Amino acid sequence: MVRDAHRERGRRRWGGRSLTAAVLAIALVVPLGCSAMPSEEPVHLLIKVPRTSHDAIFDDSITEVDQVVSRMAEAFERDYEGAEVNIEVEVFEQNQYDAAVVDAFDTEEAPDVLYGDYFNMSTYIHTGRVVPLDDAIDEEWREDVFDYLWAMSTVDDRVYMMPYLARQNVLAYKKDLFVQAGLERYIQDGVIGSWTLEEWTFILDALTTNLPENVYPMMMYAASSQGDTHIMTLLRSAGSSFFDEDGHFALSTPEGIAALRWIQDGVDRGWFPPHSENLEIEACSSLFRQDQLAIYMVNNASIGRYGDTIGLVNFPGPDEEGCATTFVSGFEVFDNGDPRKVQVAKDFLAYVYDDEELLGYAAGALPASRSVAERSADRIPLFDQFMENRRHVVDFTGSNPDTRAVREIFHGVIHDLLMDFVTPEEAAAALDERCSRAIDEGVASSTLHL
Amino acid sequence: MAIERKEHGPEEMNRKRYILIFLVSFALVIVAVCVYLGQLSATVAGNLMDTVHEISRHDVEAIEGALDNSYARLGSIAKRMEVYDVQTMEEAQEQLNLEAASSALFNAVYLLADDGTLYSSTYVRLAPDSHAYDEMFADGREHFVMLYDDANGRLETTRESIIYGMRLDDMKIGDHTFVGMIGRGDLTNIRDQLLIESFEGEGVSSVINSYGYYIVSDAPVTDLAGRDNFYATLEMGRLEDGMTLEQVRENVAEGKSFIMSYITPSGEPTVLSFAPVEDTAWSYIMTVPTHVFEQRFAPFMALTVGMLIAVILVLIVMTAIIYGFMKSTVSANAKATARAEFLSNMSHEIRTPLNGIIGLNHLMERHLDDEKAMKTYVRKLGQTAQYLLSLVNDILDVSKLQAGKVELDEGPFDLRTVIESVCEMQREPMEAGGIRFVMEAEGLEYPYLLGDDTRISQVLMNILSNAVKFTPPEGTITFRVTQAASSIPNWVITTISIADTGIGMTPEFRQRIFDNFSQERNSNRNSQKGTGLGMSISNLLVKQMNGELSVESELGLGSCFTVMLSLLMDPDRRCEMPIDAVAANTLFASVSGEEREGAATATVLLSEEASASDQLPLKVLIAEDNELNADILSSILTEEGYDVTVVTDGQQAVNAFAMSDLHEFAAILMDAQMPVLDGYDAAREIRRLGREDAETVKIFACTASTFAEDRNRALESGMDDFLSKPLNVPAMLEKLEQVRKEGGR
Repeated sequence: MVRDAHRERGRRRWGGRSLTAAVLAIALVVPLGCSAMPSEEPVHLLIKVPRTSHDAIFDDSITEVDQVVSRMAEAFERDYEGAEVNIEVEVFEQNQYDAAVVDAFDTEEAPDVLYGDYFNMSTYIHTGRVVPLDDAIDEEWREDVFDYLWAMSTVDDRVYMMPYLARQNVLAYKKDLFVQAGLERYIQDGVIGSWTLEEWTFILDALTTNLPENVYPMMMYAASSQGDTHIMTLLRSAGSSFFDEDGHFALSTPEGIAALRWIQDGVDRGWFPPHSENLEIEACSSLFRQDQLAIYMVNNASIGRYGDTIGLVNFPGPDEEGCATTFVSGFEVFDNGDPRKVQVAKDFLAYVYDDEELLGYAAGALPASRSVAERSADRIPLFDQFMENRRHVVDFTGSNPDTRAVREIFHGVIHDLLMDFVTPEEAAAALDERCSRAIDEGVASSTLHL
Repeated sequence: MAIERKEHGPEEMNRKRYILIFLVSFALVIVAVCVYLGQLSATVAGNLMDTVHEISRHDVEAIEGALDNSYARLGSIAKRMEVYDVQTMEEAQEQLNLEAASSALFNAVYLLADDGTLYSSTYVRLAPDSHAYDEMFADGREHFVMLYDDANGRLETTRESIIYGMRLDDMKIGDHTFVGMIGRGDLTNIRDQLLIESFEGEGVSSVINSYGYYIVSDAPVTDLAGRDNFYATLEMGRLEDGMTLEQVRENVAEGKSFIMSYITPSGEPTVLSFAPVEDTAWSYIMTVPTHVFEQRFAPFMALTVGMLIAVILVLIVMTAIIYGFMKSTVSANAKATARAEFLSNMSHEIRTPLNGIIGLNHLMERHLDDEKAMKTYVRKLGQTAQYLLSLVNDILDVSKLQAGKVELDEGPFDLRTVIESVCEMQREPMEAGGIRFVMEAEGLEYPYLLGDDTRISQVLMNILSNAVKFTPPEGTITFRVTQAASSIPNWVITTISIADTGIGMTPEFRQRIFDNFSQERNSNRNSQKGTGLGMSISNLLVKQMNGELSVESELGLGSCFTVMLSLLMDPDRRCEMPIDAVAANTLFASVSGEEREGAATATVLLSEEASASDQLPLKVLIAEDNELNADILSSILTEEGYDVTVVTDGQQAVNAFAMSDLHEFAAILMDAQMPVLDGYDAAREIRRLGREDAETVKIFACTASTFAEDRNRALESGMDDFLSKPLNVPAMLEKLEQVRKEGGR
């Protein structure tokens, strides 16, 4: 009943706003329709979504985020009155972002709407293809979405991504393995804990010593860029700020080098699976799931899979309370040269943000909508704790306009570090030099759609 | 009177026949070409289908090769694992980790223990109850390949992956025994090997499993759960050639190779070639749009069509050349035949009267003492000579007309006079034959015209004399003249028709009436009375005058010849026209049948009056270099009472006249071609002598050159009149008699 009421209310809201949107759409389309495209011709929208696990607190059938997007598309196709709309939802692999987006530019496969994580999608904003959405955002939505999410979706004072949900990443530990290692005292329930770097070192050594040979203390990987933001966060363990004031990498500092050395030493001390430079985050995920890994990263959306078997703790550093990261996920609209499509795509977003049920699918992660969050807070695991932990969230993208280029460099350097091919100082210098150059190149080549 | 002017001769019929044969042949060639092209198209299409299938087989072999290579890599890892110095599973997994890291194909490799535990290169250990990959070897197969769908157990990936497996023969590591090795690789690693472009990117390939789900396809797939299904796609289009979806399923499930035609949902015709991938449950599908075949076939078809067109054109040109050559040969042969026939006819026609003359000469020699017989022979001799003369004249006319050397006079003349003269000349034969002559000249309104009156007279005379010859007694000849002003100012269209109730002509003869020497042999006619050239000459003359001569005839009922001429009105006498019809009829009343008798009587009286006059001998100078002709002429004139002086060249003639008394010679008969001084120059000399009678003496040209230009040349030299050779003796005497009357001595 509640769900129906929400949907009905959303439709009423949509109905009121749809009139404005329809008028705007007609105003945009009619002049074109006379010469370019008959108004009765259906509009085809292609929405691309990376394969991403997702849970919705009120719908157990949802396991992937593309299912949510497909439901949004179906509802919009059904209700939209501005034109006949056909929406195709296409799923791609997380490691195929560029193939799905950049490589598809100027082809029939070019995405009209992209759903994804901001740290991946921010790169595309600087291609000049992603349109600003300020004209589609009304004051009600602006107030409803958390400010820190707007901030993460804004470039040069323009909103290029509509935040839909956020996931706060922290580390999780297997309670049983901690017990096996004699680390009961570090187990805390119902809180997101934090340990000093010394405690971290102690715990990891204890795990190494006390766990069986085929069980490993902590995640580590460098075979691909997937999940490297978590490794980046680990580099703050000794107090590094990671970025300087200009947004460049700043790891060639005592704190940065110490963090790198802490990781490299961990290889020798057996904290990580052997040859973890050849592992991907998914391998660590499997090990954690199989109880072969004691510490792994989780987010507020995925903790439900582990039930009471895990405890949560912030990443080490930069202070005793540790840190966490937040991934904001949402929608970008691409301009592929068809103003009508752009307008319909914006109308699609307007429709989603006017429908509380569709917005409600974000509950499972941290909803971007305050109203959804307030409504669902009691059903989202550790919602209050994660909201409280926001103060420990650190920015792992900085002002980098080409996150993907930086990530391709980053995991390679870490790979070398884990293999002991480079010293921590050399790794810090390489990261500072190469990643900062990528950032500068990204800034130089950045083109924003105005 | 309706006149049928066009005849459909055998040539026209032949031409139509040739055109029909050509069209039929051309149509047959076109049909043959179309059949050929259709057959060629079908053959090429069939070959292309076979090519598609061959390419599919080749591509499948490439895929099978890639899979075999993957198995081989897996086997190599297994062999290396056997030689590594590893004793524990931790060590073994570490080695697996390094193997996977160095492999471009596998993201992870696994060892399957005999107890069912799966050991991963990522250190993950899957207990027997958490996967079912061991079941893949249950049927005894040595290796397998499958799309990862986590149905057999969740591995450490969510990406689209291919799982390879190969059986191990109880490989030992420490205390563990392994029965299989498994490799996991990204689908993207092998996608390029499975997707093979063909036909320059137009042919797209895909691989499906036994359920129809795409392993790889040219289109992006959705997620693992919602992977696109080939059969679902197939259902959206239309299967051709009677193939059903169920048959396709069965064929794929049974691992058959086959080809089918398919219309895509967007309406594009395609050809689908299926080929099973050995030792897998996969089928390789190549989809090629039909337009690819058409594009490939188009240049070949264009080349073939071009060559066929070229061959046909060459054949047509060659046929045209051969036809032209044959035609020219036939024409040349026809001309040669006509020339030979003409010469033969001419020889025959000339020899016939000559034979008569020789025969008469012989008879006269034998009957010199028989005056009565001699008179008969002499009369017949004269007739034969006259015929011979007319024959020669006609032959010359035909030759000149056919050679285009006849120049027509464009002087003023009175058409009434021409008609009167022609009719008058035929009055006697008509009367002798008892023929009724009717003149209808009401339509003659414009008598004063410009043209060659002599040639017009010749044409009319030919027609009218023919009518007289072939009209039996009591028959009728109707001479009708009509005129109409032309649409061109000052031009008059004159139509003269001469109709008779004579014997008429057969249709065959009517078609060649205007040919040379054409005379219809009629047993009822006791002899030929013409040369057979008259109508040919008339026709050629009328054509040269830009007129038309046509004939209508019916055997036994009569003939009607019609001459149509367009002539310019005499500008000097244009104001005198037109005359009224009554006046025209009055003018011709003297030659009409009703007045015939009286007119004939008048002519006889005139003749008698002339012969009865008794005058002093008129002195005539004869200039003639031919002694015999001079003797004959001298004898004739002497017998007729003239005083004759004969000289043998032009200079002598000048001298004789110069030395004569004034008005001693009343007339000079001057031959044109003579030695020393020809007749023309002699006449000029005489006219220039400066004596009183030099300008008035009558000088008559006597020459065998009888054409208009000869006549004009004579007149221009100062001569007064023209007497053609052989001489028409009565005409000559009449002219001399006229001189006498005009005051000659």
